[in-house]
Amino acid sequence: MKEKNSGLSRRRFLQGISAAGAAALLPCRFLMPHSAQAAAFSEQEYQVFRNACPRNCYDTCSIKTYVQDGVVKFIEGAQESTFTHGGLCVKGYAYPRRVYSPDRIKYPMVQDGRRTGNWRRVTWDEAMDRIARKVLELKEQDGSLLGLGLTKYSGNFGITNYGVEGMMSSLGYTTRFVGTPCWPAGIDAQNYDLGDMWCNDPEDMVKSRYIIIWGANPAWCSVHSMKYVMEAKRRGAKVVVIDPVFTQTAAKGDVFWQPETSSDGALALGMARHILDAGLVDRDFVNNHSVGFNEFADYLRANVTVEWAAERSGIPAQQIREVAEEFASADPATIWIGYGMQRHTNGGASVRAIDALVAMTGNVGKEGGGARYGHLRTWGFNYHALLQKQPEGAVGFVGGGGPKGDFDFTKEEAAASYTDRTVNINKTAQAILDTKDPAIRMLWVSCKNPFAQDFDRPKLEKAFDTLDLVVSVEQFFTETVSNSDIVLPVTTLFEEWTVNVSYWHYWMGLNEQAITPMFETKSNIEIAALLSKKMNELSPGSCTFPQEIDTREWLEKEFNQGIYDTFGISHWTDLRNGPAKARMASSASWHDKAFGTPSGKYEFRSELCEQNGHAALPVYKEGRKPYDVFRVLTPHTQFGLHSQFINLDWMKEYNKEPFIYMHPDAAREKGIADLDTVRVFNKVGEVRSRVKLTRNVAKDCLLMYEAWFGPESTFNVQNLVDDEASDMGAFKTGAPGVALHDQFANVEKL
Amino acid sequence: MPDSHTGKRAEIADNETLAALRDFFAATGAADLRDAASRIAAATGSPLPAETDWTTAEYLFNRLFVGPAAVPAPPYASAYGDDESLLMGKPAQAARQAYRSMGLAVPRQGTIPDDHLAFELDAVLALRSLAEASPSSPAGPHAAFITDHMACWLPRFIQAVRANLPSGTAEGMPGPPEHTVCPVTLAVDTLAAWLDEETRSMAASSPHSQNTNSKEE
Repeated sequence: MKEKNSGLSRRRFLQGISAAGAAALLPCRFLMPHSAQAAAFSEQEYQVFRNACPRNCYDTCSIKTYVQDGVVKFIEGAQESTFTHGGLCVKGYAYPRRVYSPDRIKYPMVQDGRRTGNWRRVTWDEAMDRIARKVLELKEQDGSLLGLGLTKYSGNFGITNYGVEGMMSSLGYTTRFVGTPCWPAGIDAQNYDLGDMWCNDPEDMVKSRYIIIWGANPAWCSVHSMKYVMEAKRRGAKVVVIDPVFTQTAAKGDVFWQPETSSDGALALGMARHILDAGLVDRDFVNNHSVGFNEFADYLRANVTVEWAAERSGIPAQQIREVAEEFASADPATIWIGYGMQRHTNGGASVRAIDALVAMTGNVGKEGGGARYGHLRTWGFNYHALLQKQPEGAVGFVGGGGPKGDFDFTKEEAAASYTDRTVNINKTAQAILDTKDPAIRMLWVSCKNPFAQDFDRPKLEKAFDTLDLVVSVEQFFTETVSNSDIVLPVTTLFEEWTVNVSYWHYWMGLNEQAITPMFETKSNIEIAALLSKKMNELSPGSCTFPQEIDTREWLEKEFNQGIYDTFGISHWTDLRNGPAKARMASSASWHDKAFGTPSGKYEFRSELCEQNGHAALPVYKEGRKPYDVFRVLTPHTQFGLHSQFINLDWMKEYNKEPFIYMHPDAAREKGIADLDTVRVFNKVGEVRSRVKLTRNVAKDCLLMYEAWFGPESTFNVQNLVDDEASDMGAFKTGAPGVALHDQFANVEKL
Repeated sequence: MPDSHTGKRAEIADNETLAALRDFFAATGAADLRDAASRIAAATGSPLPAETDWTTAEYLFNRLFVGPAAVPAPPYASAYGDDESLLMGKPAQAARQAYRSMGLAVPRQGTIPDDHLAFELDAVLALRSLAEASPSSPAGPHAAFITDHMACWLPRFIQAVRANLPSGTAEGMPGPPEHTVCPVTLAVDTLAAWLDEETRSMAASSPHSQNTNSKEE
């Protein structure tokens, strides 16, 4: 049967056919004479291309893509990268199912009425005409383009995709949703303490003698890092996992702590107090390479006890003492600070407390040590696609400035009299509703699925309904597309040229165009070029973006000598032989103890932090007060990255429906049995789903994985998540983060 | 020999009907649908109601076959493969090889999968023309393309379309359902009838094909 469906025996088909010369005379409308004969194609041969996963994941894998007759046959991890090491995650291996999914968005289309499902195909020219006319109308009516908003984040990384921001600049000064829903509080915290966010090479974790994985689940979210954790363990390191959920990473650790959610700061400070009392402080480090340690020690003695930390966190005092002593005695010891643990109203403060724990034990600047959070040290591209000039005479916002997100590479620009208007990406709905003079009336969405990822979904729908025109650039039909007027089909990684680096490891991977873009898909920069062409047709000079671009040339324009030197290559084409790793003096960040802080030292006391409205010392900060009965946790699912991948058939095979995970004791009190359908509700909205009972979650917790979409489901966790801000993030990323794990709700059986 | 069956399938399987079906499934908008469906209606004697709303028909057509939402009835052979419900799979390669054997290829190869229904119907027209041009050659290629390839997926495609057609006036067609002929219904019924006649006549004409067909049912 399988053989049958592979179809059409060639032998039988070829029998009797000898029409090559007559092809032009055949009565076809579509099929065209083709000179290459079947014999020209050998089934044994593959073309191999280099690709780089653009999904904003720790691992940013280098991929080898095998193409036959113009079709991706299979992919594998690049062996040349010691990090990727020839393997991909499940999501990565599913890429051919993405590019060839029958569900891909194939053509530019317009919807006659949002959420009606009444879609019509339009040509690219028609789509651009409607978009350009709206842009010109805004400019005419408002006198500026501040009524045009851009919300874009990291759903499609690859340096040339910054051409989306470039396209906006090339139109004029617009309204930008800035900040990051991901990691901002921790970025600020590390900047206050160390002067930058800069982590050790993850590959040096093998040298660690003690690893604490704090609020991260690499067994799901950074599978390639696990081999270093496991190798360190094999060499004798102890692995402690701290998480409110018993994760697969926790299952692989030696010690698992399940603290009260958002009590991380108390736990870290309790450990710090015990290390202080036990005389295990690294005096050389605190005396010679830090400022403010004595004040921090005074704070600990006056305000913190191990018993207090035990009470706050729920972790027994004796265990806190043991782990603290072991951590301080091991050399080197490291802490991996996950992004989940800073998505709280006290998240930045908690990261500072953990940084302090690593610093006071002398583990900063040490190979195999470090307070590992992330880095942007290998991102020194030209940002040619990003840095486009506003048209002559463009009018913008007065009095703006500041960073436009975590990956803002525009800071070198000379101060202009006008700027873009910035609003908080973590309050998308509220910003659309509140922004006036001029109001945001048109929104461009790219590399992002706000309805799956932005907070307070009910409010978001209301906000979208106030907009005149929503344009989504997408690969699949998300709820955001459903709430759009125009959708533009964008290429996958196999269909465009770009280059990628990681915020975790130190490799750089080339992304080659491996196949012809399918259907009518175009890359973000090609879309920008098309828009520019139409804008200039309708209003000469209204857009500065080049109108004809060669995407391979645009990739080349991102490289410079600095990048070549960092990675030890002479030209980007060297990357065709495999990914390259940055050459570093040491695998340890801050190995020379030359910190980026104002004092040039590690700052236990940060005046900058104080100036920005926080405590100077890494003191305890109370978490958000519960506003309902249960805590709601909405972490990443295993086989998805936010809403990406989860619509693919492989993933649906494993996750046929979303579940709410609940502790059996809590369920019993509510009269809920395994697989009952329940309603989870709070002040924001509600979610309905079946329940799975598990002791992996705490009794006061309801866990549901972040994303789900598809025609058969309305499940959306953002119906339960409000847009409460986290404490930090505004300093380095332009807006505070969001306290998305400080959410609460009640549950009832249906 | 196909010629001996020409009379039998003339009503549905004439070239004009096939060309109209091809153009229907290749439609990019309401105007294309109206043109192709009218030709199908004329060829099959199933007139469409004068009040047919072609924009509504376009919405339905896109919902079933184009997108942007996940499509319940993708018009590509590969989407119905047993082991892979992906585009550009083995059936697409088979179609590509078939076209190559005739010295043909799809335009901008690699953009629209080779096994799109419109391309395959185009290929059937080419095969017919070839068979007519050299009556001495056996029915092999024509029969193989239909019975070994198209007949493997079209029944499932037709079933998927029918299962996802809204019933009665929900299609946006005025009047009571029994008097309504939806353009998509007309096209898919015509396609089903054509496939049915083709496979039956081929099975009758070739004992070799009969053996092959028995595996398919």
